[in-house]
Amino acid sequence: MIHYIVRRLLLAVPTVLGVCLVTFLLFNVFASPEAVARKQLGKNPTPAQVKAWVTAHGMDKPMFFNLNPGKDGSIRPFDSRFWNHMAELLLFRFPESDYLHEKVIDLLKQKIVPSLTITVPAFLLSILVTLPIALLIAYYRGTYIDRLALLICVILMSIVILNYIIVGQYLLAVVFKYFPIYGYDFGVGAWKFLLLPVILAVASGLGGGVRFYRTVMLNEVRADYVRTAMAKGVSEEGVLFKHVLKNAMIPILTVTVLSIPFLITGSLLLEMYFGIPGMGNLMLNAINSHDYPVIRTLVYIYSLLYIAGSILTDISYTLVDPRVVFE
Amino acid sequence: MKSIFSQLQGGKGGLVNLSSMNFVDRKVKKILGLAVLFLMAFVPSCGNNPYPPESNKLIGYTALGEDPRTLDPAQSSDTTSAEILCQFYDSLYQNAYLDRPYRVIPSLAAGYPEKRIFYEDIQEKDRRVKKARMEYVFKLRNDIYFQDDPCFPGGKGRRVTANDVIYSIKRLADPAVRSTGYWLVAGKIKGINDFFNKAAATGKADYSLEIEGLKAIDDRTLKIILTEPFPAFIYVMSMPYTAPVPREAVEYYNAPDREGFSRHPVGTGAYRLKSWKRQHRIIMERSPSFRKEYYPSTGAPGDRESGLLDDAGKQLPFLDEVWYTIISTGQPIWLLFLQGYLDASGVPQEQFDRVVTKNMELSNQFVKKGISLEIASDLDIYYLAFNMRDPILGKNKYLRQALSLSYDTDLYNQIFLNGRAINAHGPLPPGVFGYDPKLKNPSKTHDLVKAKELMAKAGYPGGMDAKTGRQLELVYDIGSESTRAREVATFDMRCFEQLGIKMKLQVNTWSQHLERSHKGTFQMFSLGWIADYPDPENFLQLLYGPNAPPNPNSSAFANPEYDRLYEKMKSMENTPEREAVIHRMVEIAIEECPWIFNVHSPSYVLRHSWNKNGKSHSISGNYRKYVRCDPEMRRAYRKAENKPNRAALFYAVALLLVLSAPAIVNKYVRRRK
Repeated sequence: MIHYIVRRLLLAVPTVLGVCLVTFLLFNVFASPEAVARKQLGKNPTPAQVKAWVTAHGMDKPMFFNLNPGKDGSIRPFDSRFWNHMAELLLFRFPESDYLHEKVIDLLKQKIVPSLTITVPAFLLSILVTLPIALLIAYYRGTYIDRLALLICVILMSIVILNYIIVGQYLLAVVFKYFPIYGYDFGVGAWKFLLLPVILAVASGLGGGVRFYRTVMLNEVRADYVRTAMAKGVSEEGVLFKHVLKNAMIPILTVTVLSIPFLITGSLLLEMYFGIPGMGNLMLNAINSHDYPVIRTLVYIYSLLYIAGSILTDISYTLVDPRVVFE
Repeated sequence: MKSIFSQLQGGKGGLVNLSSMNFVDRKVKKILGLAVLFLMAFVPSCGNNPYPPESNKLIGYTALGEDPRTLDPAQSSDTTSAEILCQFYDSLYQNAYLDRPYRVIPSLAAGYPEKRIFYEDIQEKDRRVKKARMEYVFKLRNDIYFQDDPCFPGGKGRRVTANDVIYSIKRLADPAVRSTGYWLVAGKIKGINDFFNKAAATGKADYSLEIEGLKAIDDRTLKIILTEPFPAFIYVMSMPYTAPVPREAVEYYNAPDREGFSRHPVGTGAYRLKSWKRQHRIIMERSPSFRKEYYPSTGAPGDRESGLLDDAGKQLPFLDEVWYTIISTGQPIWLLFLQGYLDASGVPQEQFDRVVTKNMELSNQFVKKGISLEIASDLDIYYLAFNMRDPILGKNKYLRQALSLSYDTDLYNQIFLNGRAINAHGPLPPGVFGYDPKLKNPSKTHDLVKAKELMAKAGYPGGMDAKTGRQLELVYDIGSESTRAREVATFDMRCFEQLGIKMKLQVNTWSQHLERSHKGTFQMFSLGWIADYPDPENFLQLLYGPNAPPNPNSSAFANPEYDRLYEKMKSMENTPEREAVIHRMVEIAIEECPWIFNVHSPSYVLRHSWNKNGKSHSISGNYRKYVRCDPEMRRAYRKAENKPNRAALFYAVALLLVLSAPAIVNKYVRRRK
């Protein structure tokens, strides 16, 4: 297993380097340093200020290899924009935000907890609600209950999350006045602000989730072991919950474990509409304010999380299916 | 109805274990029962109040559209940062709260500055010339103290001196500070450019170096020498950029293990920072060391009648705390305002017709709630700029005038701004010295017949090039890929296409747009300018030749007479003579038509009845100290407007049960079998 993990990690290296290269090209080749400096220096910067900003950010250095002699006459070929960018990301020496004048790592520390307070309950509740409903619908397969449920699922899937947010916020917070429209609390009082976004997050994923899990369950209930178990006298619920559910775990795990690392990245729309000061909000504000250090750090972290999620998923297969072996 | 297992068993359903089904039923019933109880009892009691329970403090609740980027006055270029900063930091001067047109009055300064113009012999190329300089002498009040803060010995704020002002101005010229306000003093204060250049060359600013134009005569007296007469400099001294900051705080909070000075304001304002959670909330509290300052007893016409002078002579500030909630989307601001959780709000574009009547008055349903509407003119101008370096547009005045005549500002105003904007005829907005309300721009009459005549005069009859016989094609640049920007661009281009011109849209990312603007590779695009200070110079500089890109004269307009008049006007006091010069400059701008003057956009502000003394300002300032509130009125409004609807929850649960009915019936039928 360790051998497999090491191999997967080594295979991830080219992906990570690729991400670093793409972010470098996006933020260095397609936007000139002067344009970035002017944006960050406000309405009317002087040319001398722009020059000083570009120099202070090392953006006056050659793109890939620095063959110019330094002040002491020595040549440092890797003291270039590309290699400095690579070192920043690969060694986790994240820069300071151009817009907020804070270290990106400090911003991440502030934002992770609010994001988790919304994504973790939504994630757990979503599994807790979706799986039993899917099992129940699978139980009634072929009946009009099943068909009605599928129709509802398709309708729920067809509605974009923004509509859930806007309509949900309007109905539950504005018309019926059950929840605060907007806000957050960093203490215990946060629960009040999290209820509505969590409910809407679960509701928005319900249609797709139920339909997917139902399909997975149905694939399993036709298997031979189900017939065997039934023949042995195992109760219907026993077959469903003990055998079918366990065997359906591989595709379920693929979806759920892969999404675990992304709990950290938060939900962009929910955070924006409900004022949760998390990672999604940070990303959105960084994009709006052209804060490139924050954007490139977040892109890099997201790619690392994706790779971690994919490795975690593979490892989790062995836990639920002994037939899966690492080779 | 059969389960999958019964189907697998040949449809008889004989293997269904009824006892275990009963067990599941009991569990399901229990869970359902608990869920219903939770919904019925817990959810409505959660309440929609986004704030903790109220205390006895007088609190003002307001919204900010985005997180302030910084609380360092040297770095604040955005209006959001300035709105917050101005409550913490006072400058030597401030805008009079109620007076219109805007007027600066002393704040930390003990009166207006003494100023004199003197002449210096300087070597200019191969000859000696006399150059006019301007000297300002500012006197500080002797009762100004910095807010108490751990950066001071014993945590007690010390008295503000002239050296603090000098230190703050030097910070603007320190490249490491990355100040967004350096342009206000660069080239203006004698010797400040040398200070900047030395710091840029060495990589570190030496604050012990003296700047020739900045001198502390004593603790309370500051002398500033300008390289040329510039009466508008007093406005610079009213901006947060020049507010005194204590060197102790900068060094203390910028130490490696601390969060930075930009997060820890230490000023002289009426409020001090209590807490700041990024992208969430800023809470400021009354500063105990704030000087004695009183509510103004004079104001603009109509202020007394509208109750804005009721608190005249009372000590400031009124509120104990001000809560700024950061809300990046417009809809929640509006909804929270209606629920009484925000004291004031703008009017969202999509709600405009519901809120404001055709006579531009507040509609009855809002008047009944005790809400009031204020329409205030902002100091801004929105325009479409022609690139005067462009070989087609730059050299053809008639073509530019024809394009201006084809543009339908009134329709633009109706479609995109709910008809609330003011048609702009020149570069100056109402409220600025030199603005002429009677001014009529002959190129702003939306006269297509005249525009077509001018097209023929320009060499493009019917939009065809008279020399080549080909249709004239122009490129219209936009710097955003948003739907709104595309919609506006489509409207703009349609106006010009009426002249037979073929318009091509160039959609740029922001950086591409900036690049094209600075290199001058565009033909036309739309822009806006919001005043930094209420002086006409701030607007007229946008057409001053030497300010061509990358400076703010985006259209690279250059007219010798205009430039000469600008240099003259810049150093003049607000006299009839200056006004005449300004009028002539505006005439030149209208005649040469480097812009299509589009609109000035006033702001519409709604306030609840408990929000007293509110008055809109186009220029950022320390205005929170004037605002008062009536917490009893607010409490009553909130109570009336925020009763949860329990009946709706009952119906929702009933609907859920109805939807579950087929499954329950199915269970019952199967059990009977």
